[in-house]
Amino acid sequence: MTLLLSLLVGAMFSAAIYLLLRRSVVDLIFGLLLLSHAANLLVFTAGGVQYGSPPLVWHVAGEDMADPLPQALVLTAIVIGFALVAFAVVLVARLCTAEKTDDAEEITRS
Amino acid sequence: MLIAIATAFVAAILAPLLYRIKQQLATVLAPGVALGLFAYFASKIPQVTEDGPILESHVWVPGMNVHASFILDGLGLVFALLVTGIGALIFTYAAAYFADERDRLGGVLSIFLLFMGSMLGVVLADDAITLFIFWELTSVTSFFLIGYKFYTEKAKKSALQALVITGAGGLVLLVGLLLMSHAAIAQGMPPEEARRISALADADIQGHSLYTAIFVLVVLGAFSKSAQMPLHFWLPGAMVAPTPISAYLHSATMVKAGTFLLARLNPQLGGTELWFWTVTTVGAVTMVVAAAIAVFQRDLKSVLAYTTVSALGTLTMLAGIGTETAAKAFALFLVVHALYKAPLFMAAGTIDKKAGTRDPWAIRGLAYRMRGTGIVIALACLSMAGIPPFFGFIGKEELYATAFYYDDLEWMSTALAVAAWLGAAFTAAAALVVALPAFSRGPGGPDPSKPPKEGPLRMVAAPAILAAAGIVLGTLNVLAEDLVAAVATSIYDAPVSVTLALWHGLEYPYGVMLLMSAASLAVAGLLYAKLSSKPPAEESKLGRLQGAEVYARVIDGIYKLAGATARVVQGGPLHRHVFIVTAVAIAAAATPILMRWETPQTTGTQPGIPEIVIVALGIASLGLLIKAKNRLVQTAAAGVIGFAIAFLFAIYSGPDLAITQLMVETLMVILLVLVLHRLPARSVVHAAPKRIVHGVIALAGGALVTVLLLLAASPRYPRDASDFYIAHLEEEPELARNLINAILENFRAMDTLGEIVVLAIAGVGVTALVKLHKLRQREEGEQDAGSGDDAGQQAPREAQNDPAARGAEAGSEDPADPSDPAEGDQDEERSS
Repeated sequence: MTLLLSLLVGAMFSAAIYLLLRRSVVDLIFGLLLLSHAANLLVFTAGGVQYGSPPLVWHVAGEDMADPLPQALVLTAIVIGFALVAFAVVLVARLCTAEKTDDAEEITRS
Repeated sequence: MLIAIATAFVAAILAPLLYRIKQQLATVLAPGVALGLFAYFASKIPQVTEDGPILESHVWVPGMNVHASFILDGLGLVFALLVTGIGALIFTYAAAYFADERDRLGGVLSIFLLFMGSMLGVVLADDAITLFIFWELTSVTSFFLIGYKFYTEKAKKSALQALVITGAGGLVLLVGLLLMSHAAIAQGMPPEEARRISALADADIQGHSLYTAIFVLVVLGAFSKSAQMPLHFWLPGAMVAPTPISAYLHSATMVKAGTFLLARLNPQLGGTELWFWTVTTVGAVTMVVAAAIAVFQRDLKSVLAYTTVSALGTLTMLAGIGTETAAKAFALFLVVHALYKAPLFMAAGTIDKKAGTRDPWAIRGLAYRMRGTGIVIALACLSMAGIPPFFGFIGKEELYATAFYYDDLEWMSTALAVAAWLGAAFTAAAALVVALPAFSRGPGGPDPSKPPKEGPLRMVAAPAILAAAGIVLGTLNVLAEDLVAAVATSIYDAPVSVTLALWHGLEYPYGVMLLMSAASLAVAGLLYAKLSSKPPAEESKLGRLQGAEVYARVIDGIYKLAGATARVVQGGPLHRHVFIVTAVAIAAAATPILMRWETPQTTGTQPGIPEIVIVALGIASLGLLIKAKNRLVQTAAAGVIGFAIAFLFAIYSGPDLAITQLMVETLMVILLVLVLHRLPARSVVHAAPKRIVHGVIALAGGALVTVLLLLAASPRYPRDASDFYIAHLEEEPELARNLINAILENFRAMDTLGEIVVLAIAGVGVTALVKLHKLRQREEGEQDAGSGDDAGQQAPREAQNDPAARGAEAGSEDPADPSDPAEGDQDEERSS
């Protein structure tokens, strides 16, 4: 299942990079959003994944329990990623309204 | 000693506050503190001269073996006395000097006090790190002082130049000092001893294989601070600072720090061939060349600056020679120079203020108008020229004696004598250039219709005290004997006894030395007579030796390189930056992986059908996200991906993550829908070839991440940190039963606080952007007469914080709202 998740993370990174490279700045938002998701999933997967053993003390204690640390880090990252993208969305929306275009090259020229 | 340094720093904080309450208080506080510290150090003289150094140590960072240790030996004591004593007089002088810039005096006094504290730290420090920190503090405070006239281009440039040269020198010095303790530890010294500079004298650093490296680093640090050639150019440049600052930093204290260091480290690093030849040669060359340059300057402060460089060269040379006589000469010359140079600077400042010029050839007869300043100049210059019975004469005799008593190499003794004589002759000529025009009658004086007036009492008395000390110590030289002996003992690292006298008789070598003194004065007189009939050109080529040019080119080159790099890497539209950054990152990460390729092992059980379906759904949505032009379709695809990840979290034992992700993703979709439906569909794409290149880069990036992740996840990495958390929670189960909760709220609470701060900042940013948008709209509305009512309606709606009304307004407003519930949800989520 690590392989499966690794493939998904790779695909998400590919899509994110491609979207970031687009001329339209609106696609940049989706690229950022994907990048944030992909990074979260990357950390989560790198910590080792397993079924049905959430890091709760009463559930199972000891070796088999999922590692809580990557999950804690990802939890923080999810929220920060949201804040970042929310800001980017409003910024890009303002940019597009002000410049009356979503073309990065035209924005650079003007 | 720590208390003395702390007093200066506390006074530095108090000075500007007091200045605001009552100006008089601050102008009394600063010299008062300096004087008090002077008295404190003076009271230590008997103890240091009789019982030897006083040591003091405070725990600072025990984990890193850093201690605030201090040592008060002869060398440190004499420096501390100079720093505080001259400080007290210069602070008094400065209060009168800056009288017409009242609003900035408080700040200047504060930085002066900061500088005094830092300088005391340098001369008293016994710990390598402590020394370094105070060393750099003097560079930083002097940056602010040199840049006093920050609104002029020249001051900015000079301040930065001084900071770069001395700051870089400080960093180099740090490495040298650390290597020194490293070498001592390698030789078996206990680590806590090896950081103490005084203890390092017992180690055989000269015999360690790193000695050459240590030597180069330490000496570079010292030379940069003490303006030795070819690094001297920053010092004359620093003369753009107001004169009290030049008088304090660039004659008496900071620039001496480099020579102080050479003297301080003489027992630890000195005595080798490398030390002798390098330090002595650089010092001697600087001494002669800088004094020669000084004579031809057309600016009193430049004359004084170059003679200061020359005096620093003398001290460096003496530290390089390192014999017993040289140690004595160092101690004497140090005090001699401070006692004549600081009053000369102050006098130059008074002349500048009152006569409006600093050209020595344009102030003929000035001394008859400004009698007090004239007397100061006369006394100081007589000492500078080395005329008996002034203290300068004793210093010069001891300098000659160093050359004559150097008996390791016959020709070197002669060479040193010649160099010392040349230096003395040029210095005497410079003294004549400073003093004689002011005393001579004739054409070229200041404008007779507006005769300059004498400065206020404080501006005359402060330098007069120092200048008078020159003749008092010259005649009653017994007073200085003990202190000079203590200084020489610290430098020579063995007991030195000192007997000072103005008259030694005529037998060899004293007869020869008297002849040399007479000859040097005669040469100086001739040189002056020649200059007097034809003063040097305004722009002397000698003044701009290579160093400043090289420095300017290097700095210029750095700016140009940075500019060119930025144009290539960051020029053009956004996607070009992204492309370059991504490509470089991929190349950098891929290289080590490909060079040491190992096929990643996949671990874990076979995935079940639900996961495969979810992943397939996610990948299909990725395709849709890229392909779709309509923003709402893209939003839907992004939402599907987000929810797919939430399900994956849920399946793989991350219930908290799953809940958070669901929550956030819902908010995100709402936000995107609200904002993006107003935005245009994708209007343009790159040309086909570019798209292919981008596609290749994107695929390479994705493949790299997949490989990286498989490599990272394949061996089970150590879980030390997690085990720590788990063990602690098992001990205290009442903290929380959910480990993630416990980690976020107890162990990594600062992370969570940071996260909340980020959220808050993003919320503020979003609100600001929305407000800006509304403001624009309102302005446009006001311009447009027809929609005047509309603008009036918007203001109250903004004021009432009704989400319903705001929701109706539409898209771009709402982002401010979702971030707040998100925060609340997170906290609830975790504490449940």
